[in-house]
This record gives sequence, C-alpha cells and structure tokens, in this order.
Amino acid sequence: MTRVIGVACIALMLSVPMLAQPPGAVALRAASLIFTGVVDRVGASAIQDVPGSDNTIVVKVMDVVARPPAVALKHGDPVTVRVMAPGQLRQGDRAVFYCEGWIIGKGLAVIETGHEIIRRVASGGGGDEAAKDRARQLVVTAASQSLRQRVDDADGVFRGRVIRIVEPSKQETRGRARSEHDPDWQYATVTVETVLKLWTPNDNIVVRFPGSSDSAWSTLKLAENEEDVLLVKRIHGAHGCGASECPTAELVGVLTRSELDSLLPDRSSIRMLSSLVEWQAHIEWCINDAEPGAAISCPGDYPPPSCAVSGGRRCLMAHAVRSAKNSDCAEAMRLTLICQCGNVGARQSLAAAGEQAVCEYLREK
Amino acid sequence: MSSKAPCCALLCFLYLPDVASAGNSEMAAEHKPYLVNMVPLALSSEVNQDSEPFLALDSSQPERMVASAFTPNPFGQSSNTSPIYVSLDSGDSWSLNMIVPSRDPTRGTHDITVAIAAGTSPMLFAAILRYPGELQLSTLRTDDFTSPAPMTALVDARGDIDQPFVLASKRNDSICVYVALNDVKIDARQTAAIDISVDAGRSFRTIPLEKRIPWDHDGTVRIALAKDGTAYVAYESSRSIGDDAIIIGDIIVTRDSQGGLSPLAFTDLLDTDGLPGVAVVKNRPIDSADYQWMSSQRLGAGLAVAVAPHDSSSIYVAWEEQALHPAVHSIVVSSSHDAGRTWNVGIRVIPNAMNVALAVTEAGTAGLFYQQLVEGQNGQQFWASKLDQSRNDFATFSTTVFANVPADEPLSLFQPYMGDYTGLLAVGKEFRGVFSTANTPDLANFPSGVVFQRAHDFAKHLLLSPDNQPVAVSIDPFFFRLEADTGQGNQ
Repeated sequence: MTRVIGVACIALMLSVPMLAQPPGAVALRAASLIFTGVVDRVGASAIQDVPGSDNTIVVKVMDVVARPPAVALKHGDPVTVRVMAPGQLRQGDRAVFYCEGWIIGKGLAVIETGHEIIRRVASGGGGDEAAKDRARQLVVTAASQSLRQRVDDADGVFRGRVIRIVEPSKQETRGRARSEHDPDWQYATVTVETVLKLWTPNDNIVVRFPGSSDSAWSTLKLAENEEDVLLVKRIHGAHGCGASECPTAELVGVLTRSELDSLLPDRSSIRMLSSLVEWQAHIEWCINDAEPGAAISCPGDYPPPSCAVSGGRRCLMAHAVRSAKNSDCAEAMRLTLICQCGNVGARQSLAAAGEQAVCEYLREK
Repeated sequence: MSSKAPCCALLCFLYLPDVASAGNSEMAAEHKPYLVNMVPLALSSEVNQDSEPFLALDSSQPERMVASAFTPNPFGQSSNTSPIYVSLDSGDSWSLNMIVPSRDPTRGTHDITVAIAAGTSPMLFAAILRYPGELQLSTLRTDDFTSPAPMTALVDARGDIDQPFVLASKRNDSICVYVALNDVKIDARQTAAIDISVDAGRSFRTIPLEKRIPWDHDGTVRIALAKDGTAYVAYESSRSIGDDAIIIGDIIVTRDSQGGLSPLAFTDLLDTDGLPGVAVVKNRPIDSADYQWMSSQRLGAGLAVAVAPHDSSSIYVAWEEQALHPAVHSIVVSSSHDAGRTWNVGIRVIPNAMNVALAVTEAGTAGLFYQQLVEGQNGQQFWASKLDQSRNDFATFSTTVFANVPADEPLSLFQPYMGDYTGLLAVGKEFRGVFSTANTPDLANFPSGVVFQRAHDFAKHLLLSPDNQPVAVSIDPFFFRLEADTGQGNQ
C-alpha cells in the first residue's frame, strides 16, 4: 500500500504521528539529495560529529534518486537524517527522503526537507517504484523550473556569434594599484542571430564579461567566433570605454544544447528560437521598452496620452496587444507602427510581415 | 628605515637569499609531522579547486578546530550556504558543515578567514566576502560550529571591503573580535583599517590605520595578539609605481598595548615623521599593477605578522616582494625585539616563494610556513610546501617539507590557484597549519608522510570514487601538525 502524505490516509494517520511535510515543490526546492531508504535506528547517529538525538534517525539507503555528483552515496550506506519533527518515522519504515546537506565526513548527515512514506513497518509490500517515479518526476520538474527561472531573470536571451573582443579597461587601470578582485572587463561585440527575448532590435550588441580569472568573478568567458545562446542582463551607464563602444549588456549565462532542448521541448518553441524573424524582434523590443517622455519617438501619435508620459512603448504595446486580442488587427498594427515610427527599417519589416501576422503574434502575448 | 640589521646599506636595495649555501643549514625536523588531506571520504568524487585555506582553533579545547577554503557546497546550487571544515580530534579527521551563508556555486565564498574565541562556549567567527555580491563583507558568528544552523551575520553585505582577516580573543570577560581589512569607503587611498568589537560582534567600530597619504590604496592588512593583550597590525602602504608597473611601498607596523581598545587605538608606535606606524622597510617592490605569475599561481601581496605569546616585545613580520629583473618573488622575514621600534630586516629571505604565514610558540620558537616553486633534476617544477622553525631569528633553522608536488597539474580553474594565503597557528608545543596543493595520492609527493581521508590508491597514484572509478586530480586543503623545535638538540 502506498500512502502519499496528506492524501487519503487520514484514518491511518490518526494512529500515527502527523507527517510534517508532504513532498512536492517546497520540499524539493531545498532538496539536492533524494533517496529511498529504511529507517534503521531512531534517536541515533551514524557519524562521529553528530550525536544522536530525538531529531536524528539513521536510514539505510536503498536507491538514490538524485544526488550531487560530488557526494558519495550508494545502496546500503547508513545516512544520519535530521528529521523535521521527531516521532514521525519508526524503525523499519520505508520512505523517500528529500534532503539538503549538513555534515559530510566519513559518512553523511543530512537535513530532511520532506519525506513520503512508502511502507510502514509490518505493513504490506509494494509502492516503491511508484514513489520513486514521483520523486524522479519532481526532480525533472525542478530542473526545468530552475532553468526557466534563469531565462526569466535574464533581460535578453539570444543566439549570437562573437565577432570581436576588446579589453578597454586594461588601459584605464595602468597607473594605479589594482585589486586582485578587479573584474578586468572585456567587451564582446556579438552579432545577434535569433532571439528568444531582447530589448533592442540592434543587429550587434556589446556584451561585457569579466576577463579576470579571480575567484570573485564568474569563470564564464567568451571567445571570438564563438556561437552560443547567451543570457544577458541589460546595463545602463557604462562609461570609460575609450575608443570602443560601451556595453549595453552583461553576460550572465550560456545555455547548453541540452538546456535548450529541455527549455523548448516542443517544435513550435524550437521554431521560435531558431527562426524568430526581424519583425518579431522589433515587436519584442517595443514590448520591453518602458522609457517614457523624450525616449520615445512621435509622442504626439500616441493615442492614449498617458503612455507618452509613463510606460512608454511598453504601455503602447499593451494597447496593441489588447486590440489584437479584440480582433482589431488594424488598430494593433497601427499602434505597433507608431512604436517604431523612428525606425524606417523596422516599419518596413513590420509592413512586409503584414497586419495578420503581426496581429496573430500579438494575440499570443 | 628603522633597522639594526647588519649590511643595512645593501639590504636597502637587495636582500641576500638565505639558503643553505649562504651559511645557514637546513636540518630535518626532529619530530614526525602529521599531514592529512582534509577532503572527507563521503566527498571522494569532488574535483573543486579548494584553494586559500585558513585555520582556527579553540585554545581551551585545542582538539576542536575549524578551517575554511574556497570549497563550494557539495549539495549544489540549490543550497544557500557554503561549508567549513570541522575537526574535533586535533585534526586526525575532518568533515564539512554547511553553515556559511554564501553560495558561490564554484567557490562557496570569495575571501574567507575564521577565528575561534575560546571559552566554555567557544564562538566561531568568520569574515567573508559573500556571494552574491561584489566586495561585500559579512562578519559571521555561531556559538556551535557543529550545529546545522547557518552562521548569524553580525555585519552583512558591507560594500567596498577587501581582504577581511579575522581574529578573536577573550579579554577579561569580553570577547573581542578584530577584522583587519581594506575599506575603500573610508578613503580611496587610506584604506587600511580594522573593525573592533568588544561585545562578541554585537557592535563594531572601524579604526582607520593609514595616517600617511599613500600613492594608491593600501595592500594587505594583518593583525596579531600577544597574551598580555598587546595587538600589532601590519599593512602595506604604496608610495609610487615604476615604469615596469612594480608598486613601490612600505611595510608599516602599528601597536596598541590595550588590544586596540586605547582611546587613540594603534598609535603606540611613532616613526621619525611623528606619525603612528613604524616602517619596517621603505620603498620596496611590494606588488605589481600588472599581475605577476609563478607557474599557475597569480602572485599577490602576501603579508604575515606574529608576536611571541608571552613576550609581546618580540614580533615577526614577513612579506612578499616582486622583482622583474631578475624575475623573483621573494618572502622577506624581519623581527623586532623591542616592541616594534627597531627591526632586524631580512633575517630570512626565500626566493620564488609565496603564501607566507607566521606563528610563535609559547616557548618562543618561530614558525614560518611558505610555498616555494622549486626545480627538479630534469627541469620540472614543483610546488613545495614547507615550515621553517627557528629559535634564534633564523640564524639557524630546521625545515619540514610537507608536500612537493608537480606544478603543472592540475590546471587552474580560477585564481588564486592555491590561494593568496595559508594558515599557521601555535598551540602549546605544536605548530598546526593548513595549505592547499595538488592532491595526487603519490607518497613521493609527501616526504613527511600523508593520510588521505578520501578514497585513493597510493600504489596506482589514483584518487577514486566510491565505486572505484578514477577521479581527476584537483587542489585540496591539507592540515598538518608537528611538535615545535625546543632547542634541545635540534638546533
């Protein structure tokens, strides 16, 4: 019999202590180690540095569902688990344990963030595989959520090729003492090829990254002719660029092929990244630009006057999206063209795409 | 320069390397050292660059120690903490406890040092540059470094701080905490400063140390305490820069006989210009505006200071000097036996060496730890990790070689490769220390013997995973202890 915590086993729980934490998003968020095991001893510890207490149990590992690569754990190993609440687990209970790290020594002590009981001691068998499957699925889901969070946190995600790298800061820092933690910024001019999201329609973006190998800085570096899917943060006010163009973005990550595949599992999404065309990039730029006042072109053409004062192009495009969703494609197109009134090339590109395509694209927003 | 060293005129420009052929004999230390690779068995698959280690011990229970290094949380990116290394058995074994609130996925923290204030309830303090953040100091405390509770931030995310170096001691009934650091917020150039707390870190006051106008920001800052409460601070003060980008500067030592608690703290020593802080040396090549390298290691501006526990007038200072022609990065050791007023400059000079650390035992034996790039018979380079001991200002000394590893493996993942500092302490009759170096389990690399906690095969020179798969060589922290020379037949 399998029991998922908190679900359909109220009667049984009346006879055992209440279980503290259902496995799921909360438990998994903190869990980097997930394994199934049998409670071997209660109120005990298997490693020297942790005395046994009411909060500790020793669990014999059966199967490891997920573990960090550096942490050694295999079938039969005893793990000391600091439980969330004493008394929930009894000797002989079999469960999936969701844990974060505590002590790593000759053995392992971990802190439980949640558990799912597979089988109470002296009860019937079965259920192991189903519980493990649920745990595995949670791991996959968590990895996907983590990746999506990285993408959401980035201001720009695009495939590009590095065509040039300059080191403007080298000249600036000569003549003064340096800290070993100086970033030694390098500026990479990246030709944008396809866009997932980006605030600018420019073909080239200058992306800065730390040239320093110091421990204070990321080991992520770019090289000329490298082609990657880059995650960047928009930066403002970079100065002291010398003869080189100032950067408008900072490198925060690079997506691997497998990450890209997991991020965009369906063909339509893949198509979006691989073939997001120019006119769509112009729309994305409008949607992500919120600078009002002097930063916008043709403010007199903005039909809702408040957008010219506050909200800028993003505000204008919200009206365009609303029009598209209301099937007023003509208005949606008109507003989109107003957004790009200062960019003849963008207007031509949008016009070539056509009202219907623009409207459908906006309707999906 | 205040110096009573012989050959002063020559020493103003060039120190004579103090090697065996120069009149001092290197002797094998009498006592068998204990050396252990600190990475525990359950972490046998790790391949991090665990560089820049530091060491703290509970002097009331010296079997209890804590060490730090650039070690990330092995439990991965979802973790919000980084580990410290803990030993409860005098360093025989070590484990990791994930209690430092910083989460750089490849290094844990940026700079980190640790200190323990002894007592019935020993407190662990740490000064770190935390992640996320850039040059943001967090000063941390826990009253139980074996518990899973993350350390509490006493000072959190204080910006524009570099190279925090923590020390803690019990003075009367107060727990005093010192954090020597560079504070760019005080001034862009007069950055040498020290945070002092007399209430176990509940509150700190910042004392600027630099009284002169340096050419640019100050360099490394270090502090040492004697048993009588006298505190010494040493720091590097830049004066100019040469065409070759070598930074010329002074090594300054200040003193406070009341442990930094005097109304005018750290002003006991005045130089000839009437300002606090005596220059041990002036106008030396203490750093470089263009990084210098020794093998895979970016060179920094190492500095160490130690005071004899029961004789606060006896102080040792060691610093690193850079020279392009010839390209030598040397450690220079100096001593003072009149409480810092005059100095014996260059009593020991070690070429091609870095990561200097100093300590003095209660019996007055001075210990000098360093890592030196040496050349083997076939021209191959090795990193040698050594401890020199002396009871006569290094006129004679013994040398213990803990490690002598090929310098070309592993490749560096980031800088510093082995660290910008190491840790050395004197406790009772022992020296104890930590350093990082390559972890190839080859007994030939560890001439004084070694114990590996992590899975290994000495015969095949292989690190192993729990399922007996080879694991790549990396940089690991090592702990050593050995009985200090006493002058009874080994000098």
